[in-house]
Amino acid sequence: MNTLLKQKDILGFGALAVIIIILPLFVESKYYFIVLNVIGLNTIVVVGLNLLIGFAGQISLGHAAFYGLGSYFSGILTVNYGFPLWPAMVVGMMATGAVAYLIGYPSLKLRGHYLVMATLGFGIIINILMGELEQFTGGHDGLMGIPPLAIGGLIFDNDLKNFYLIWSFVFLCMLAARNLLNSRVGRALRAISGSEVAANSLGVNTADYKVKVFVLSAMFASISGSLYAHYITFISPSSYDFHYSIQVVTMVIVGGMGSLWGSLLGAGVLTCISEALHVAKQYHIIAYGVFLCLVLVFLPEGILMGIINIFLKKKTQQNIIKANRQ
Amino acid sequence: MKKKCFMVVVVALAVSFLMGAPFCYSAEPIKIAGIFALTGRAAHIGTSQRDAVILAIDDVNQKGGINGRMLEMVMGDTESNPTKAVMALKKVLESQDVVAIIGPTLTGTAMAMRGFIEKEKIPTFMHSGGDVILKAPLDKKDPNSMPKWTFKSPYKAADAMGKICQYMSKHGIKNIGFLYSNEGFGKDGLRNVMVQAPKYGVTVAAQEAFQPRDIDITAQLTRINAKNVDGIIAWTVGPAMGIIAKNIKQLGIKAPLFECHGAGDPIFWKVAGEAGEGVMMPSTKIVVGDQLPDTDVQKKKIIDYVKAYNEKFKHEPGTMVAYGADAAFIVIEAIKKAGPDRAKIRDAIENTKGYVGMSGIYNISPQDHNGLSMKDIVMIKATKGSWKLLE
Repeated sequence: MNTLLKQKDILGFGALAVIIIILPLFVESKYYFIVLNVIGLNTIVVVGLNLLIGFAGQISLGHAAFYGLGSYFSGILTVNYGFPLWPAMVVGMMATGAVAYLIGYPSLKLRGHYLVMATLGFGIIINILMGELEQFTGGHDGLMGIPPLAIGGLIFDNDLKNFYLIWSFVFLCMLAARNLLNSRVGRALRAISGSEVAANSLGVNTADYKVKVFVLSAMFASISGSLYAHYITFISPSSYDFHYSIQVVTMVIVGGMGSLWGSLLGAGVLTCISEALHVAKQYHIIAYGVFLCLVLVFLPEGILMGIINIFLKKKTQQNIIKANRQ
Repeated sequence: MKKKCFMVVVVALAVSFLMGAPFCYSAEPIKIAGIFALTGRAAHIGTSQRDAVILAIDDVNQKGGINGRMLEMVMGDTESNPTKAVMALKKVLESQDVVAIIGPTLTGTAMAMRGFIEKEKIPTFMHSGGDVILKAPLDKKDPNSMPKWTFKSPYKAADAMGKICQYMSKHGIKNIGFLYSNEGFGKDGLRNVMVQAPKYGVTVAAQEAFQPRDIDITAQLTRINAKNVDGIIAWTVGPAMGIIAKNIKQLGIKAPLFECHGAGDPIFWKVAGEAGEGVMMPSTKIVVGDQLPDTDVQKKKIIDYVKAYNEKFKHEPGTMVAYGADAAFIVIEAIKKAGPDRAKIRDAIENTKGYVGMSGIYNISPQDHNGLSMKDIVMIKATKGSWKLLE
């Protein structure tokens, strides 16, 4: 563990763990908990998607479908077929991974952004199927009565318990992503995002790695989807439309492509902003757009790196001034 | 400099998030929550329902409130999205003293909120259309677990369909084509027409689906027309309402067109233009208040309300406004009777008998959390930018 986790990361993950544990002491309102929980769910999807966008250099516009597959597998298996809760989640994850493999395998062999087109179409097809396969999914009326998750006698049936559950998963997913990136696979991925040709010529099987990371990111989304289904206990196709896919891609970009902590920040900031902007009433969509434009124009590397860079620049400037004086 | 400006914006946004959300109210007023689709795809319905509720609350407050206490509305926006609807619900429940909820607008958002409402035990009067809200048990394994705290104001979609079929059979239309948008609302219409049409001796000779965002529906209409139908029902809300009316005129189809119970809204004329002339639909009486016979008990109430609505918002109310207004007025009546206590308000709502509203006369009971019947629906005809009462 210590060899994999550098000092800075131990600090980061330690801080995250401490915050997760003590935050409920300061938050009482159910509303803030549901916001935090939605941030957590989004973070899991965004961390997975960031592995794909930030490290493999590929964009997916179909992550709503993977998120939805997780939800629907968990929902359908537990409600219609009386499956136990956790195995249903694992089955959902595996099945989603398999589906992602089927899409990723042919489209990632091609050079260029063919995955975008494939996932775009796939996302829309899955969304239509959710509405049309009525006997399984409940159609547009949705699937209701999904049981909450439980470990032994501990049932995760309120906002606080779900907070600990969801954020434990956030913690684990981020840790997994962190370890992956610091392994041989991670180095290969970084090489691909730097230059695909160079990586290829050095013996990195780029297509293979890209497919694997795509499958992994779909599985992350599936986990998050399962947690969502068991938390809200009701799912319907409108939660998994194209807008959600766009939303998570935006979170990756705002947070910073290729930055793990940026994913957390991106999911957090965008979820909060869209809630906070309700005070602007009917103008809130405009305000949201203006905010996104500002970030993309002034902080193109994402909020986290952008802010760090501003500080670094100031420091270098000061250093230069100092050097000039001397 | 630019970056400084940006930082100011970010800080301002952060501050507004920290202190903006929950507003501060004095303890005096009675609080009810209104949750509507103020943005997103159902915004045109949600905003007019919000206006309807605001008007109802203003009306009570102008008359001195309830036992001297003013009513105040805490508002939430579902963004027409189920997850956001649950978030909005938790947000309005932040103020512990919210005694009842009015809304939401869309059936999907209502279904997502329903479980939490039953858990929180807060009386909620919804104005979303889907019958599934009241029909589906909370727990799939227990068919008796019906929602206890949830009510809804729009009449059942099945009754609206029944009304059309009844009207058709009375006027010798026996062979019809059914055209529906391929999503929840349209599919629900298809299920209903298959049950209701045979009851009145009407045959569905053709059924065709289209996508809600289609911009041309002539192909489906041509196929329906080939079956020599003598009436067409189109089940959709939104721009397609107008596109179908226009396409029918372009194809020279003579069979009369009937649309759904959501079409009786000023927006219909915006999307249909002159082609809307002559389209018939079921509706609440609110859009034809002045044409009602003087013996109608709803007439005076509707005329007064429409006048007030016109004065405040400077446009005519559509049929959806009636649902928002009724939900608000019934909840307010219940608060008057029971005082600001959630459980007592729920019981009072459930015992609403013979309440004369905009949409009809409500007889709510433990078995029927809606309380309207087919008698409350009227058939109207689109005529010269307005509506004509048929029966």
